[in-house]
This record gives sequence, structure tokens and C-alpha cells, in this order.
Amino acid sequence: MKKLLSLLFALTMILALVACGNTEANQSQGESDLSYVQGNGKLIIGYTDYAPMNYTDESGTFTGFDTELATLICEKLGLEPQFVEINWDTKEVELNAKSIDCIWNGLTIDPERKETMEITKPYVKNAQVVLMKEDAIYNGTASLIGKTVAAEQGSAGEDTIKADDNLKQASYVPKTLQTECLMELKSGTSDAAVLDLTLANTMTGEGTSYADIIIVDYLGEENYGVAFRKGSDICAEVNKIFDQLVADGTMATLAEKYGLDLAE
Amino acid sequence: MAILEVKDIEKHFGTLKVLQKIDFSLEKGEAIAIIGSSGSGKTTLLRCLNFLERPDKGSIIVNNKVIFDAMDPATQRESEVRKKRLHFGLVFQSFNLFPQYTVLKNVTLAAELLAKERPNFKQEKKAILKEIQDRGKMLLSQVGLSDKLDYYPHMISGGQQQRVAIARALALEPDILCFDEPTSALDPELTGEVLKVIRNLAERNTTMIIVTHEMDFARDVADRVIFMDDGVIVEQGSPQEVFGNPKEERTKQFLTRYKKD
Amino acid sequence: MNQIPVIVGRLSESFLLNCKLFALTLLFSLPLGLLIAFGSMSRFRPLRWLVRTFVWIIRGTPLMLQLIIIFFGPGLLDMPFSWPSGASGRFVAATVAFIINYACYFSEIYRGGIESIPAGQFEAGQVLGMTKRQIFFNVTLLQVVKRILPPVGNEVITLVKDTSLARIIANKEIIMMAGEYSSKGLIWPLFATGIYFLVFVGALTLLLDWLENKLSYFRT
Repeated sequence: MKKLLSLLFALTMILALVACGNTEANQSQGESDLSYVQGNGKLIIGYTDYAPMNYTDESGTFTGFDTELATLICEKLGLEPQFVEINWDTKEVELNAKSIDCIWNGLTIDPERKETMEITKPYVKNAQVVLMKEDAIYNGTASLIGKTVAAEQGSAGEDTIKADDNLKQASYVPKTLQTECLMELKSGTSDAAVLDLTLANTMTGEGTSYADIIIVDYLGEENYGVAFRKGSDICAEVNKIFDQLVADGTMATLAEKYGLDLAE
Repeated sequence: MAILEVKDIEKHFGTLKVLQKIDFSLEKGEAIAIIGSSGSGKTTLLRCLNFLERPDKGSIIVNNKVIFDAMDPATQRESEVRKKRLHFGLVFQSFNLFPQYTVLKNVTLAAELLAKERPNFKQEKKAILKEIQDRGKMLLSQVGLSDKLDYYPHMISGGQQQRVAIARALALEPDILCFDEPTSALDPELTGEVLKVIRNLAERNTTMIIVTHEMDFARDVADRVIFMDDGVIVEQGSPQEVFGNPKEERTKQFLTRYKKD
Repeated sequence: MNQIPVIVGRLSESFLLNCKLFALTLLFSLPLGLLIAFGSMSRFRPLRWLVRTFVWIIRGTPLMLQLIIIFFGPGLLDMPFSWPSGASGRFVAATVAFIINYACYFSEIYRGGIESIPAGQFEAGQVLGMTKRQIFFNVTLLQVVKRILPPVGNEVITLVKDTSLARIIANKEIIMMAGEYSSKGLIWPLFATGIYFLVFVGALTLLLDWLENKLSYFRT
């Protein structure tokens, strides 16, 4: 009897946590997200190691398109940028638990994500691409039925696989990082991977450690945005600054530096 | 004057009555043997005297002072009980030596801890500890173990361990030394050495209560014998009376069983 | 190939996180476990029930889950308390989760050890006029230590490996660091982490053996 009671007690606690996790992100307590981060004096930016958006170069400097952009925008907002490395598959939990204030790491905008987070307007163009070894045979997504396809857990690539009628019938391998999918391809444990175009451009092909991996297909264009907690007012501020930076050409210069295309 | 008076002791565990109407007294220098079959309550009685069990009724009087009265909660406070235990020494059936200490340290440990409570301990620490050490060595030589002072319990035989236990019990100079079937856990060849030590103590007029199955020994060494059965004292008297001319039927039955072995 | 010193440097630095977590966890969970053990042996029934239920919950759920609940819980439940931001906050949260978890495991080992000491030892102390405290420190303690050394040693060795679970809440310990390289095609750092763990556990094993040896002069 006692064991049963304590089991129920424990379950209730866990359910309460889960329920809060799902219905959280209502700033309806009145406090503005912007005044919250201004009160802290800093913006905590969640990222994963992902070239060309956030990465450490050979000289050991932490850099990347998103890194530079975020630093620039924080300056304009009068906030100290604090970059915190997180696990991609718990990014929403991190955001809602306020251990980070935004996800700024090549986040693909999609309707589902817009429901749970406040996302800025698009700033960089992206596409989900299918990658395979250069000697592999590819005839559209149908040729991958029954084969193994890798993607990063919680990523747009994963969503693409689940949404595509053919890829749905492939054997899906979830990985913690996009870059780990490249490893799978190289070692042959996966036949194909669905990743971001921006990453594929930087990390595969001539001159990289994945010289024999090529892009075989483009599965739809998409855009990157920066995600904040649902209802956050920081979003609007960042959008304004995006417009400024596009107008004065800063965005374009930065994009060229990293070989990216700006969103329309 | 009786050094120990036990009046009307009763003890039950739940609904089971283990001791009833236990009445006896002990003179200084006297040795009493308690005999009876298993389950007769002999061990429980001994444990009551050493405050390992609390009687539900009755009183225990030592040197004319009431040290326990079931009616009086003041006599049952833990802080008081600890000091009262020192009137009695107990030698267990399974020795219960402290395995992590040498033979000598087993004997001196309790005395050293008690000495710390003396008001003059800090000033005369060295002298006090030496005194305790010397006494320990003396007691161990009395039981014939002078050559084993630095041995650990697991290195010596059962009989030797029990002899150490006796020395340990004597170290605190108890008024009454109790033995709970001291040789029952020993191999037959080893009982002799322990009985010899107990006999020795009896000859020096040590006040003792010995619960035992060794009938011949009880007959030889005890000044008085108490026969218990089913939680009551059935008969008590001198060894000649109880062994030679038992009055009660139960006593006779018990003795015939033992005589057969 | 000139990458090797850099990588080894980063691996070693991140292993320091594992080591710090290990040390802090042991430092606090070993004594906390004793407190919990006493609680679970208390004569006061409500306390005993409360403590035993708590221990059951902590030992009955994965440490990984506890890490997530402890780190994300305060923020998700809008508690007035929040972990400091950045890497230090995550480390503190991980340490707290580990301490609570391991204290519960140790408490059960302690309780088993204490309860396994024959009552006769305690009674012998009693009839010799020792107080409960004196009996615990002079009679029981060393016997308990000798008995629990093997299972405690086991838990300590498990802890060394468990420290890498801290990466669940994004603490950059050695395996997460090695993951950064393995995902880019460089596999050897991941296998190299094994060497760090092996050496650490090897040293611990020597220490534990030495301790066991020191206590072998008597038998309980």
C-alpha cells in the first residue's frame, strides 16, 4: 500500500513537470522577455558545433556566421552575448527552462516550430539535401526505400524524412549531431543522409575530410530564423535590426564570407 | 547481607510469558548455577540482570539499593542504565570479542573509555592508562593467556577466546559476574580450559551466576543451584539437595534425562 | 598531425570536468549517504518511511532522467530558483544530481553493512558500560568499513564512468568533446577517451586494494 502511494506521488510530480513543459512559454505573467534579458544584462545563446554557423576554427577561435551576427546584434541591443553549447534534441526544453534565451544556430523555420517558439523573419536560405557517397546509385527518394538514412534528431532533416512518402519507408537513423551523419556515410553504416545545405557546402566535397560525399538531391527550400520563447518581444527587436543590417549591406558581406545565400 | 536480590521478575514477549515470579538472592562470594532445558528462560533472566532486556514486573536490588523497579520509570532511563550495567559482568555464549582489537586491547578498551569520564583523567592520563594496561595483563595471565596479548581473536581458538572474554568481563570489577552457557559453543576438548578458569574464580570467592548445561561442573563448583523450567524457578538449593534429592517432579524428570547422556 | 597536441590538450581539459565532478560527488555523497542511512534506520516511523521512499525513487529512476529534471525543472516549473547561466550552472546542477543519486546508493550499502554486524557486538559493548556513541565509533565503525569497502569501491568505479552522463545537460566532458571530432571524421579521440578512464580506474583500483589490505589484519 505504501509503495503504491509513493509511486502515485512520484508519477504526479513527473506529470506536473511534463505538463508545465508543454504549456510553458506563456509570458502572460506580464513580464516582457526583453526586460527579463535586459535585467540579466545578457542574452544566452544556445548553439551546437555546426559549421559554418557556429564553430571553432583552426586557430581555436570561436566563430561562424551566426556567431558573428549574434554578437553584432547583441551589441545593438546593449546585451552581453553568452554562447552556451547545448544538445540539439533538448533545445526546446533549454529555451523554456530559460537556461538559454534563444536558439541561434541555423534553425530551420517550419510551421510546427512556429507554434511552440517565436521565430524571427528568415535571414539565410537553406535547403535540405540528400547526401551519399559519390559512387552510390540514386534515382530520386524512391531509390532509398529500405535503405538506411541518417539525420540529426530534432532537425528539419528529420522532419523531411518523416514527411516524404518514400523516405518514410527507409530505415531512419537518428544522430545527435548533423556532422555525425557524415561519419555514418563515410563509414558506410548509413546509405544516405538528409542535412542542411549550408553544412553540406562547408563540410563535404573537395578539400574536406568528406571529399567523397556529394549532394545528390535537393528536397525543398527553406529558411533559417532565430528562435525565442513563445510570445517573446525580443523577436520584434531582432527583426528590426535584421532590416537595418540588410539595408546597410552588412548582412550581404557576412553571407559572402561564409558562402551563404541570404533569404529573400 | 545479600549482594543481589531479585524480586518477582516477570517478562513476556507479546503473549508469550518467558519469566514469571522469579525470586532469588545471592550472597557476596557465592556462586549460583542455573540449570534447565532450552526455552526455560535462563538466558532471558541473565539478560534482564544485565539490562539487555527490561522486565515487565519486579525489581532488582544490588547492595541494598534498588537499581531497577518496573513500577518506577526513573530507574529505566538510558543514562542511568549504563552505569547500572557495570554492577554486572557478562560472558556470552558466543564470546563476542571485538575482532579489530588485540587480545589485550579487548580487555582494556572499556576501562579506557570509562576512565575518560574521570575528573582527573587529563592530568593523570599516563598513569591511569598504565594502571589499566597492567590490570589487563594481570587478568590475562590469570586466565593463562600471557603469551597471546598481541594476537587477534581470529588467530586463537574458541576456548582461548572465551578466556579472553572472561578477563574482559573482570576488567571492570563487576560486583556479580554472569556466564551465559559459556562452554556451549565450544568443541568438547576446549571446554575444560574454560571450566578450569571458572572453577578458579569460584575458589577465589568471586560472586557468580552461571547458566550452564555442564551438570557435573555445576554440582562441583556451585554453592547453590537453581532449576528453571517454563519460565519459573521450580526448585533451588544446595547442589546435594537439587542433584541428590530433588523434591519436584519436573526436576527429577530433567535430571534423569541428563543422567542418561 | 600537428593537431594531436591540440586535441589531446582539449581532451585532457574536458576530462578535468569528469574528475571535478567525480571528486565533488564523492566528497559530499559519502557523508550524506551516512545521514540518509541513519534516517532509513530511524525508530521514528514517519521519518523512516519518508527516507526509504525517497531512496527508492532515486535508485528507481535513471540518473539521466534525474539530471534532466534537476537542471530543467526549476525553469519549467517557474520556480523562484534558477541555476546560474552558462557552463558553471550546468556543472553545479549535474553535481547536485550526482550527489543525491550516489548518496542514496551509498546509504543502502551503509545500512546493509551496519545491520550485518552481529547484535552480539553491540551487546558486548553495552554490558561493558559503553554509550551508544562509543559503541558506534569504537566497535561497529571499523567492522562496517571493512565490510562495505568492496561494494563502495564498486560504486566509486561506476561513478568514474557515470560522470560522462553530465553531457545530457550539455556539460562538455570528455566524451562530448571527443564527439566533436568523431562527427567530423576523426575517430581516434573517441577511442582515446577510453585510455583516460582506464588509467583513472586503474589508479583507483590500486588504492582500493591497498585499503582492503590495510584492513586485512582482522576478520569480521
